[in-house]
Amino acid sequence: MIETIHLTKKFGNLVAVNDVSISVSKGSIYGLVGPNGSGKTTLIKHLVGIYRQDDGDVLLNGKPIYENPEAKAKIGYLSDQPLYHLHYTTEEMAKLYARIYPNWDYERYHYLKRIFQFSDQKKIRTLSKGMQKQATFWLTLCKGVEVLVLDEPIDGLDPMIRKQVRDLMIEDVTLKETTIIISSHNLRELEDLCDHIAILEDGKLILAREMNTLKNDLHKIQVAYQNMPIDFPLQDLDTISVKRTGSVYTIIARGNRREIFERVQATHPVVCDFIPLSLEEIFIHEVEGAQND
Amino acid sequence: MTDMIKRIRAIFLNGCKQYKWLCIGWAGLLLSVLPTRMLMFRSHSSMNFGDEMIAYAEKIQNFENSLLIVYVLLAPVISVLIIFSHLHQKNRVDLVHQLPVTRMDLLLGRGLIAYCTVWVPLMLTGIVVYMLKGLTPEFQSVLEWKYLLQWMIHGSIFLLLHTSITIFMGLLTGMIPTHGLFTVIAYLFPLGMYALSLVNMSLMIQTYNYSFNFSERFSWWMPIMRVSLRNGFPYLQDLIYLVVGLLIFLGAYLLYRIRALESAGNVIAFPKLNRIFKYGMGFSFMMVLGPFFYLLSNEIPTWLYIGYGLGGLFGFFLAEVLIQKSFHIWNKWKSFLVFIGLSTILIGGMRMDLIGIQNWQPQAESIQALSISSYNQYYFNMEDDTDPISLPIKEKALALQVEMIAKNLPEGSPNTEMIYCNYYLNHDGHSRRVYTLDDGFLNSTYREYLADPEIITQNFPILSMHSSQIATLRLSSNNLPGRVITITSPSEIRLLTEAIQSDIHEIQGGTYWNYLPDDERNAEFAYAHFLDQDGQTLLDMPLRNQFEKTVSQLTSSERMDRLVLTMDEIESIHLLSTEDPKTDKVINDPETVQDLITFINNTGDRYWRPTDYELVIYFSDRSINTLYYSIDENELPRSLRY
Repeated sequence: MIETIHLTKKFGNLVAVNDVSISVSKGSIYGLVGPNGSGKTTLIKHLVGIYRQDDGDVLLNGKPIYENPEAKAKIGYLSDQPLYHLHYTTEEMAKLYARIYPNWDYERYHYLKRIFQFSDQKKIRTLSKGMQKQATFWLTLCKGVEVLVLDEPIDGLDPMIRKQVRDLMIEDVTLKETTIIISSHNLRELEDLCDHIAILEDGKLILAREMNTLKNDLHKIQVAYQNMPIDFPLQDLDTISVKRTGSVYTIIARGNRREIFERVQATHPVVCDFIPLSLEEIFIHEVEGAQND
Repeated sequence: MTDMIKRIRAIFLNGCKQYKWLCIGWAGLLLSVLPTRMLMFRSHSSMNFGDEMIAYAEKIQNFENSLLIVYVLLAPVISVLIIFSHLHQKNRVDLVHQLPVTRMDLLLGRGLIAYCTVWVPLMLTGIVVYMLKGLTPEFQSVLEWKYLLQWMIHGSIFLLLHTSITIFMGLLTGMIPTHGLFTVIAYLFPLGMYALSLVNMSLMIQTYNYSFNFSERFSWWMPIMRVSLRNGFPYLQDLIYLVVGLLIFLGAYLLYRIRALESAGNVIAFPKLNRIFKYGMGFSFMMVLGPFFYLLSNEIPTWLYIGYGLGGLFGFFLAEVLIQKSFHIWNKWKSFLVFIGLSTILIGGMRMDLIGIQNWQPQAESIQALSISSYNQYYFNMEDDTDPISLPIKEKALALQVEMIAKNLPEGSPNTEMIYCNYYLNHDGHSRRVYTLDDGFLNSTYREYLADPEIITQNFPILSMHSSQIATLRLSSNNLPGRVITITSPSEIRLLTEAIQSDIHEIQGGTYWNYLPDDERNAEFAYAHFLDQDGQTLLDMPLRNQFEKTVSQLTSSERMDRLVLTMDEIESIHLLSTEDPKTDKVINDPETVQDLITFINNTGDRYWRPTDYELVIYFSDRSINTLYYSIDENELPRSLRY
């Protein structure tokens, strides 16, 4: 299990990560979302042991990650920036990692060589941006780690490779119980992959839930009345947003679906539809809610 | 431990692969110059390069070869700048620190690589140079194996020290340019600041005089400078520098531990040091721009303080711009006011001489050598065999200084003379003060001091010298540039030495050397160089026209005519006007030529100064250089005046 406990990081006067506690259990896929500058990358750099926290703890299986080679050897990091020597070939990078990562898996390296169809003899700087990303992913998957921390992993990949990358991640989770932490702006992608989600805003953690709970807890309801009441009739609902278009109210509300349904029904609407919420909508509403607070 | 060694090995091997070109480059540079030059000497076997070859080999051996000096100082800086550049680039800092290694692993692994890239080429060069010795018999005496070993140890230690310093500075800074800059500052800053402080103190404190001397004390800062010192570079010093190098490396590790990686890209990696950086920059620019403006304004004191103000302003805000990476820095005016306040206290305190520098006197016991003279003696010859100065002489000098302090006048006062009071102190210390004294004081108190028999003996080492010590006496003429007479006859040396000693006593020697009116100071016709059996200089001293017995002795031995101008020696004399070239002429009249010769011989040589005319004298003996002699119209024979 990888976790942060009351993690705080400041850059001068800026609090980049403010008292963030997350806990990612083994074998889960954890999505980190948030607007630009919300502190995702800073949080990730703590999780992989690059940054030292100003306050709080960052632990892997109960042990600190920072300056702990044993713990760091169990964490693979794929950054949104190229993290390799550009003048090396993929094979040379593999040799470097093989010397440093005790569980380096050459078998997997050769297996993946067939999937990522480009030569590992080419210098990385001569590869296209997408291929460079693939090379990084390839190398990261061979480190034999327990936790994969991926910052924008599928950005810049074509749909075919994107699918392969997603399949490989799921394969790692299924077969090896690898824990994956993904930060991405592509919420559609995360929605399919993640079983947990955390939303950061201005360095603070505004939400951290299981994906199913999150979806079950937040509802989008369209309600229409024959005789439109002067005041909104569902004041007692835990609403995040209410929009009126003609005689139809579109409500985003938190709570138990059954209870909400019963309350709406009590106001005798002519229409009461529950519409599935996408992660993107949840994200937008939560962030807006946090900003309003 | 095993895991740590494995990790360091991995970092090291990766570094070998990544930076091998650096090592090859340095090796190429050294090998293409040092051994190649030796081979070039050898290829010219038809020419006699023996001495030059040995001198060249000795320079390599003593780290006096300029390429070696530059290499030992700068190669570690460049290597470390490249190998530790990951600390200063945001992407690379992440790449390296996400790996499952500790900072100690990284520092040791990368430090080892940085060291090897400069150490291997140097060792390789040493071995190749040693192997070449077999090719040439001339090198046999120089390049012995034990010297090679010693050379390798010294070289290894120097490189270790410089590598450690550069790594340390790399961890203090957050950008590659500031890393390089701060490392160079670390090398030169103490000496530079010391020299600048002395310059500024000389300008602010009356009587304090600039006296920077790159003495043994300062050479400790740059060990490569110590190799050529007369005491050599014993292995104990190697050990000391080894320990210092390792301590600096340890310091670098402690910095690395507390360094925040996100500081990559900042001027200074530790925000708490920003204030020191700002104040340091402000202060350094003050120290440079103050004297610069002062000199630029033809030494107007107000400009010294204007320079301080502008320098402080510029340095402080330049540092602020670098720190904030923005020109919007005027919100830091409060901090600047604090800086101005501190600087004002410092400069004001210095100007008012609050710590009493102006009238400071050393303890008599701490004086090793001294000179109170109108001549500003920069250099004291402090060889081991220098005779110690007696306590009474030291006390007399200190007593005279007390009187000079009391009688000191503002600089530039009429009818005054500058008298320099120089002390060479124990532990390489120097003290120099300059007093402005009027003629009355000089002709009474100061002359009285100089005429003291003890002081005369002190000022004229010839008086305590015996002619049996002298194997050769070499006389070089002042007015016949290039004319040298070598005397080896013991009886002639004895007669001349005794004549000089007698003359010094008779002319009340004290006045001769230390204080004479301006127009009499250069009435010297020759310089005497006293050499011992090994050809080493025992003493150099000028011979004056007033030395009657000496002149008489030289005349009777028919040497005098060879030291002064004579009609026979001169081919022609040209008189050049400095204002009107049309009046230039060749002087043919024998009587006029004789008058000019007499005048020049009586006056002695003189330094160039702006005069109405210049005499250009050509000699029939081509080994004697042309003499250019400044002369005013009133000094010319009547026949030449217009």
